[in-house]
Amino acid sequence: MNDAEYRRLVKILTVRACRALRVAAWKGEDRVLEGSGKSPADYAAETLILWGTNQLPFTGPAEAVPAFLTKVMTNKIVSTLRKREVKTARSGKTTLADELTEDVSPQSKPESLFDIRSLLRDDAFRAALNQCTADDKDLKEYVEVIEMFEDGIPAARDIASLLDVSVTDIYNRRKKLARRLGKHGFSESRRRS
Amino acid sequence: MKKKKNEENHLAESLEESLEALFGREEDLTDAELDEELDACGMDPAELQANVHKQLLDYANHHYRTLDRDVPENLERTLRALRPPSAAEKAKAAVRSAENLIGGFLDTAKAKSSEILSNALPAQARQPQFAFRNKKELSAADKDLLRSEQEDVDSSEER
Repeated sequence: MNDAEYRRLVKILTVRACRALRVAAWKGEDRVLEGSGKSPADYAAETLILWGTNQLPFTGPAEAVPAFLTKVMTNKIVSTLRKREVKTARSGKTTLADELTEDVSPQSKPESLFDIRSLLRDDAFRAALNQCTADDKDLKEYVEVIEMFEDGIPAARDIASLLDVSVTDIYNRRKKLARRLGKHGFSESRRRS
Repeated sequence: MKKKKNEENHLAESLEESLEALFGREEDLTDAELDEELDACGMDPAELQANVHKQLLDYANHHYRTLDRDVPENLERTLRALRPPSAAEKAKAAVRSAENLIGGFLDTAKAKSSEILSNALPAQARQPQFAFRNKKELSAADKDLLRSEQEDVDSSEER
């Protein structure tokens, strides 16, 4: 990989970390994940350290490095979210040590937000989606179509054919939604701090 | 332990699929689009690069250089690629961008002024005058005009 590809890799990893935290830890936590003290940039740096110090077994071609590293980092985020101390900090309550073994509050179950169906049923995420799509009927339509697919995750071309628009149009709607949710998450976290 | 790892892998896959369905793949974004999304999340791409570089540098210093150990090649290469520009490089880049800005400004001004001039002048003025009369050979009308003018001058002198 050349210098420009490394610089791009940092951006790809950080955008992924922002998206993953925004979705899986829905509390507007783009900046720092409560309970772990890690920001998206920290996750990107940590992943690059693992890669740089040859701690990740990878033998594929250079083009596959970004996909491999984003996967590694996503696993790490999932693992952090499942840690007891992160769950407890995120639920915002003080808990006795022996109560930590069983914590069944929905807030403490981030895994319920990893699946798209559950995610779209999550009140907080739904509210954020509604706010981000309120003034844009194309985005609203896009979210509604995703919800329509009960089984599996729809591909861009399936959504495009259902809406009778081009696949490029769907890609553009996705990018717009990501940016809007990013902005929303960021302003939410600023409001709370 | 292995079961927990498998479960986490499965959850991570599920999360990846959800992210892709909602937002598409990060790798498909252009550099400008990545910057836009970072900006939407309140991050400056240059600051981000400097932040990540610092974390990697601290790690390399702490775990390798201070222990007199060689920094792994991959980490060294990543550090080199992410190194923020030095003050001299920044100054050079600023000069270059100022030159480009001024050059662009002058080009635009030149193009605009020639556009305005070409629109403001009448159509005939924009055409070169290839045909002209040989002033040595006066026409009859010219001769009459000259004669009458001369007569006016003479008569006014006589008065």
